[in-house]
Amino acid sequence: MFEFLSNNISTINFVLINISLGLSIYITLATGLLSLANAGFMAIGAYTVAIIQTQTHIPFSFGFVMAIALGVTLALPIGIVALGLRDIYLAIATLGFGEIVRIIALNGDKVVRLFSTNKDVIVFNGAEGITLAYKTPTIIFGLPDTTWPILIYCLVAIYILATLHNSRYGRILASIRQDETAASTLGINVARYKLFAFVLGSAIAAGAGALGAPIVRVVDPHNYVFSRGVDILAYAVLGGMTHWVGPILGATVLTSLPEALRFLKDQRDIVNGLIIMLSIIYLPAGLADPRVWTIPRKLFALLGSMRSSARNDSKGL
Amino acid sequence: MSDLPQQLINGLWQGAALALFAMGYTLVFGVLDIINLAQGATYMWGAFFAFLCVTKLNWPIWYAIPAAMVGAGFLAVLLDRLAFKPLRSLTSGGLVLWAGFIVFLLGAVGNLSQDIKWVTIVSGALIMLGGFVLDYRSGKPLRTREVPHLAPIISSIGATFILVSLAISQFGAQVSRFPPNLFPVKPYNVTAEAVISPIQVLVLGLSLGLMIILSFLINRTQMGRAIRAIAWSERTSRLLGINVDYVIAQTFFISGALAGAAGVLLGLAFNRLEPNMGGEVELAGLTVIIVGGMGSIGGAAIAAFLVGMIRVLSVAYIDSSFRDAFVFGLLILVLLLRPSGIFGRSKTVRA
Repeated sequence: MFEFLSNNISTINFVLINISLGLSIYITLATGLLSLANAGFMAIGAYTVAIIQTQTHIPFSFGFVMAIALGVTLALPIGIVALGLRDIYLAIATLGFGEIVRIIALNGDKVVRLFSTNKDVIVFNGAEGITLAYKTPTIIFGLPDTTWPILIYCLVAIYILATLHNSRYGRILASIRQDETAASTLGINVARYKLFAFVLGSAIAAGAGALGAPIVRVVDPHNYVFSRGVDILAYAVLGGMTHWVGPILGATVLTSLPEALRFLKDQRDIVNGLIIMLSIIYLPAGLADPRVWTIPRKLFALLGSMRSSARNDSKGL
Repeated sequence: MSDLPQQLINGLWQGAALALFAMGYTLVFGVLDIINLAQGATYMWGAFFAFLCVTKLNWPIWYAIPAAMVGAGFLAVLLDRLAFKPLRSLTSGGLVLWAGFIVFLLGAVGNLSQDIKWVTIVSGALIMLGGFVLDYRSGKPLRTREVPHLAPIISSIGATFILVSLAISQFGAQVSRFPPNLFPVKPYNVTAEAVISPIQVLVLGLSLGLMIILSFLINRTQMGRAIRAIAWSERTSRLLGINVDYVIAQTFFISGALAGAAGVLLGLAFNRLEPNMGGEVELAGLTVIIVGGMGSIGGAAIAAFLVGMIRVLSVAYIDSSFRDAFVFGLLILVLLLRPSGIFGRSKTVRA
């Protein structure tokens, strides 16, 4: 058991980080918002921690709190202005935000130097990014001390979203996803709940980025490009956008699959793309859809009765 | 500021190429109400089709440009059948098409020996062809449903990933260049300080020409009338006996051909082809169609020149690394102040 853990610790770390990220996009998707800003907020979290670690002597836990606080502070105004936009417009605006974050991370030093007396100051370090000092992790109960915070963070995020799912809030968010106009006629303050979902998602992403920084150790803009955002989207799409189990399943499958199928390593993007397309077309409710689990039984039934046409099979999907 | 005329010329020809790209984008949006984010990948493949024609077949560039446009057009039609059509109506032919596509991908990127590789690619292509025909001829779809708002965007993001990685696996992630001497390089003098090179004249001329042809196609021909009818109401067009599937395929073909033309032209002008070149122009193109008003072709053409100017002038007078930040600043500003776009009609859905 311990041996398995220590041999696969990097995979486990990434699965946990990706589950948190998948949950962060799930909460917005569950409200019917396609926000592609998660990679941007992840970058904000990671850069906050990295800058605090390299520029000051403040402990990591404070940096983590700061990262989430910064994520929330930025998400609030952005959410207030951007959430007036509908589906594709919101997707495009948030995509623009993600790109702006990346451009700032890339050129942050130029901005810092404008306001600083020291004209050679290096904070963001451009495309090379910030490298964090390596510390040999201490093993606590079989897991290194970098993994524990992510595990706990992930469980807390799952707990929050699961509680939310079964509460009045969760039902309100689902009603906004299904029909915004109908929800507003029922007296639901749509704008407020959308903002709530957006800020919660951004905070989760910022926190995941912050906790991921000591694990990847090199915080550079390439880690947070659009394709990272698409990775995150793939977790939620494959897993399902209507239940919190979805992103957990999706992130676990998509993160551990390339490890299991090493020969696919070079074609990761193709496999990601195929999974996104096939699951949005043939599996619109994702792996977490209860109907998916009845497909094998239906297939047997189909094989049993020769009269069944392809029509019935497609209904199962 | 003495180089201002030069910068304006640069903004003009880059804007013209951007307009080609964005008109295809906005055409598909106008007809189907979907954003085809894979347009950037079509653009990239258009450039690489021309590259293949020039380097592998030794064609002169005059044949390579139309060939690339046709290639990109068919790619866009294929994309529609793979990524968007199954969302609208799922047919058994569509399933066969998908199966063929997966076999094709396996052949193209799989770790197979040379002979098996080609057999797989060809059989994949044949299965796809069969699926295409079956899909087109099928009367009764297995499933038709209301397309969820987000599904086409997500599906086209997936398609972009496949197309870009396919290009990386074939051409490598590094920059490819057209062979030199494809084109005369001696620039013409426009004013005392401002010059324009022949390739830039070609970009400007061809873009304007294609814009005029497109507006003729849309406004004056039977096909254009059918496209506008479907944009107005697909149901009514179907009732009136318009072959909706065929017209949608035509729309995608035009849109892809325009993207392909933009890809070849910009690829030639900068002489720089790389698999990721679509991403940059895609974001600029999104800005253009939003500023121009979603679905408005004329608006997109005008907005493209505006965005082209902003890109060029911000590089020339402010800082090259913040170029895209300015474009996005404009995008977000327009989205917030006037979501229907500067030239958009308020009849269209408000953002």
